[in-house]
Amino acid sequence: MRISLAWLADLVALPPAAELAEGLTFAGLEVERIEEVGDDTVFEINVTPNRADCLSHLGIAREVSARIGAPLRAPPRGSLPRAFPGPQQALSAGRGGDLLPRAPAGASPVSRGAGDGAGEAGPGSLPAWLARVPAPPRIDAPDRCGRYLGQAIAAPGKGAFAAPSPPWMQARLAACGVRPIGLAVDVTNYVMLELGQPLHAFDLSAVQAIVVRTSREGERLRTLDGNAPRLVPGDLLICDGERPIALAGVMGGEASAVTEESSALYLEAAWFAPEGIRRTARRLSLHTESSHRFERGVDPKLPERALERAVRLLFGAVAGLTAAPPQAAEGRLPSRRPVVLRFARVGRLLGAEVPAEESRRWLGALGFVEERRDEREVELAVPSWRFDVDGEVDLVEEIARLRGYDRIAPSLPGSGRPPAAPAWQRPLALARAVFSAHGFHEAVHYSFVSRGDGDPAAPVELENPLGDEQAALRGSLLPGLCGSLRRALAHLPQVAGRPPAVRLYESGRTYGWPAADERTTGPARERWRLSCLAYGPRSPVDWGRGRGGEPVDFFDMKGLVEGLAEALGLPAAFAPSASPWLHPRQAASLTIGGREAGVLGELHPDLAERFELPRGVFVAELSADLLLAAYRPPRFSGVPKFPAVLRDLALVVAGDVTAAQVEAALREAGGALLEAAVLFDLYAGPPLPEGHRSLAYSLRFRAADRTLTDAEVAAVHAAIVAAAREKLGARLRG
Amino acid sequence: MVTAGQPQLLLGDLLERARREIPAAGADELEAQRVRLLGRKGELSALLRGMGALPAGERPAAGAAVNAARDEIEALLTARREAILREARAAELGGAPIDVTLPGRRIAARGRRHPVSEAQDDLVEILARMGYEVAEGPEIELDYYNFEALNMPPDHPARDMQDTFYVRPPAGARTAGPILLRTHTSPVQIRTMLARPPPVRICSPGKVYRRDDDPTHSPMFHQIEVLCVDRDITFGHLAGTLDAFVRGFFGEDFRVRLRPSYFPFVEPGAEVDVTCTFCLGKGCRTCKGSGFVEVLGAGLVHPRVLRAVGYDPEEVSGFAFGCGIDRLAMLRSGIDDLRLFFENDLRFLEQA
Ligand SMILES: [Zn+2]
Repeated sequence: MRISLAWLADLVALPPAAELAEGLTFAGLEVERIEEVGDDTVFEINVTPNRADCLSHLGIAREVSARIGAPLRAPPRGSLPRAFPGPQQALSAGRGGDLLPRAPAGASPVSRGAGDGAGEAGPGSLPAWLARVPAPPRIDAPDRCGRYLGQAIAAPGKGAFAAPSPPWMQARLAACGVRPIGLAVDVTNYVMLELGQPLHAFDLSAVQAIVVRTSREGERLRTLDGNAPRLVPGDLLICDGERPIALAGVMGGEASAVTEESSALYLEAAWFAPEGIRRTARRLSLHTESSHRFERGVDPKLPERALERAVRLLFGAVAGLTAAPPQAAEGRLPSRRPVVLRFARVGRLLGAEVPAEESRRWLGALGFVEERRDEREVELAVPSWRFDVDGEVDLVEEIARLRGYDRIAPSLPGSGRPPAAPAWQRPLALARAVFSAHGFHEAVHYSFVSRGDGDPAAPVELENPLGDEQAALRGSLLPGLCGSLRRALAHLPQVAGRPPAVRLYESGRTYGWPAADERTTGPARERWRLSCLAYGPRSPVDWGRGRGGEPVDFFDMKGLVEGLAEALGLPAAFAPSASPWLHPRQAASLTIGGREAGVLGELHPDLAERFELPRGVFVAELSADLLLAAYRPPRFSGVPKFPAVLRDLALVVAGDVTAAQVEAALREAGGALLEAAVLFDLYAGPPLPEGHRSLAYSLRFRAADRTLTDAEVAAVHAAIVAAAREKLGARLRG
Repeated sequence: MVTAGQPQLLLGDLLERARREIPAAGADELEAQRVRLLGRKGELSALLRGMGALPAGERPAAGAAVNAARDEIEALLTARREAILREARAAELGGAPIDVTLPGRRIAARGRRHPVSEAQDDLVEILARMGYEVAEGPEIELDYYNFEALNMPPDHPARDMQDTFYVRPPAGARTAGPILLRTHTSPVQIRTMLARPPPVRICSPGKVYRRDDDPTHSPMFHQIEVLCVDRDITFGHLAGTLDAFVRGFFGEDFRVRLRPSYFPFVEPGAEVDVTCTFCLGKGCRTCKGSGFVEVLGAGLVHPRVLRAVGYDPEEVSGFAFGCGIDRLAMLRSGIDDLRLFFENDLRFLEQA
């Protein structure tokens, strides 16, 4: 909201600009910018949605007055036709309003010249145009339209209402960021900026009888912006009889707009219920100055004052205007209940001593009226413009903000129960340490991915995405990591002719829909994953080891995953995997305690192509939920008391026998005495038979309670060889 | 060479030679000397054996002389051995130094933490020391927890402050109201309070989403929300806790400043400014000369929110505050474009 200080000074005495800005900011009306516009100063004030009453110069003036104690001034009265019927007078006729022929004698239309001159039509000489003054307005949706005031005004000829408004008015509008258009529109905008009441001016020739009603299915209205949005039941309309002429509180219709051709207009000042205006404005994306105010709440007592002010301004600007008396119709206004403040509650919530007197003084300055009071509490009528106040705590806030938050001394609440650390905290730190030690940088990607088109990998889609590339929520962390690799390869330089080494990991959620019988905390299934990607040379280039730089392979990724499992104290098992993300020949699943905890391997070549990546990208996607929950803190068991015996063993097996099978056979036959079996060589080729390979293990035997004899070791070694032969057809390598 | 009968004379010769030769011997020679002089078949042993021929009265004296000679020779040998080691060490140490300016070698490059996740850990730790437990909740939320229970019923204008992404419900599913991406971590407050009675002290860090994309707003960012509900919690407690929180993260010299503001789920509400990290309060372009930057929203928990979770606002009160972790990380590390955090450019990540 842009506030002109020159304008504001019409309404209240002002302190110097800098002091005023600080005062407003620390009363909750943040002055975001101060601008010099000609010889005026303009504040850009951030008005929070609860303070609709501050969307005008009057509203800001009230705040200034309450905070510094300066009395409010009435805006300059400007010109008002003599014998002009005051709104109260007109309204006294009650619901249904007045039509001139039935109006009391004193309420005759009057014209007069601009400025202070006299010039008026004598009583009884009613101009011909009054034949066209509409029937009194009718409200068919009383819960949606609490009041409707209208007034017809005629000029002696065409063009006066579309002519430029006075320069001073244009200057103030421009200072507030509103483009001057023509007198009628400028006056409505001026009054809105001054008092906060949105007004609308119709061409009188388009108005026979105002009816305020809700829309019917399929109705259309061409609005001032040139569109003809489809209306739905519940949109509030201003109609001329049956025909919609404005989208109430949002935007006027094109056909009833004031133009060069207009010689008379019908001014509207109404109160519309906020929720309905907001629904329509949002659905049609029609955010206007008017809807902005109505959906936040306009003072229901404002229409009379605003209408009178508008008429005064018009009369001041154009000579020879004639005005009919205002017409009014009443709907239902929301009832406002008084609010009780217990004096002790103020200090108890703020943690500061606030005397009852002081509380009363601040609230009085804001326009709250005491209806009942005793030692303990006071009952207050809420000013009609304060829609945001409906409870005691709202009053506490008013007192706190006007006193100043800085007058509340900071303190700390007493200590509570020491908090429990989340179970995942330590294992996550351990996992991070493993990634870090292996050179993996942590990445954080957007949760958005491009629309899945039914892709089961990203089934959760957004209704209103920012774009196609961000239309769904990720079902895997891998696309994000692959994207970052692609960008890295585009800009990272090679070193000594080798591709850059890229290592990334991410800890984050993936999203999907739960199965029919699945229980989830929120509406969707959110899984926590720990995923990583490795590409490029296994170790950094250095000057000592030459320039080997072999690219990472499956076993580097597996070594990382094993390291993670080890850090978490978890026994890991691996088996071939059919993950669609992975190269079918280089894909493994990780199993922890019989449950699948993730997959790892080479990125599937088809996917590498789709992500525009070279071959040789290795990835792992692990379940953080499972791994971190399974964490076992380390247990220690002293050091062995008896020596170990080492034996090497090389077994030749057929190519389809896996290392896991060989190791299982070794362990089973070796029993408790076989402490470790470390694979130290793998060989295939001559002189081994075609399709065979040799696995060489260093076996370590030890007993916990004695030194093993040669005979014992020989026996268990022989048993191992025999078992390998029987189970796997293995023979010793000669 | 050594014969019985002339033990004294020979002993003298032997010692004299040892005193001359041992101090000049090289490393290899030294062992030969030891064997020749002190070995089982060496010269001293031979002398001792020869003493059998001496008159009984002379034997003790002769024996003592031989033992004294043995001690002296051993001392000579030891001294020489040590001298040789010292010379060798001196020779080794005295050579040309290696080129210590050659680069060191790494087994693997050091992996870095992401600045946002690191800041999040720091914040959680600061809050843990102050008694706050981590609470988590879904990112895909129901409208009820994100807005309604937080005093933002449908058609509430404050919903405009948080432009929301809505999620298309799965085909055929019946859901309890609109599904959205949470716009703040505040729904975790509601879920936590619904699940347990007061007192409650929690912090909830995590990802949040708003339909915004420019250098200072990204459609996804991180927030941490703090909630304290107990008997007699005051606005003063909020101010004190914010002060400790900010000093814990930025440093002891940093100050907070509270300004009245509006968030529907708190009342009184406050916008919280912190000493500008760029100018340390002196005033600069970033802080528009004020010396402060806006980083937090805070306030006392609105009685309607307390009632919505079944707490009695006459019995307990509470405060809540929430802030963008990314923004705090930006301020702390001097980053001016939020989007850098989510581009994951290695040239950026490697600076951590
Ligand atoms: Zn600064």
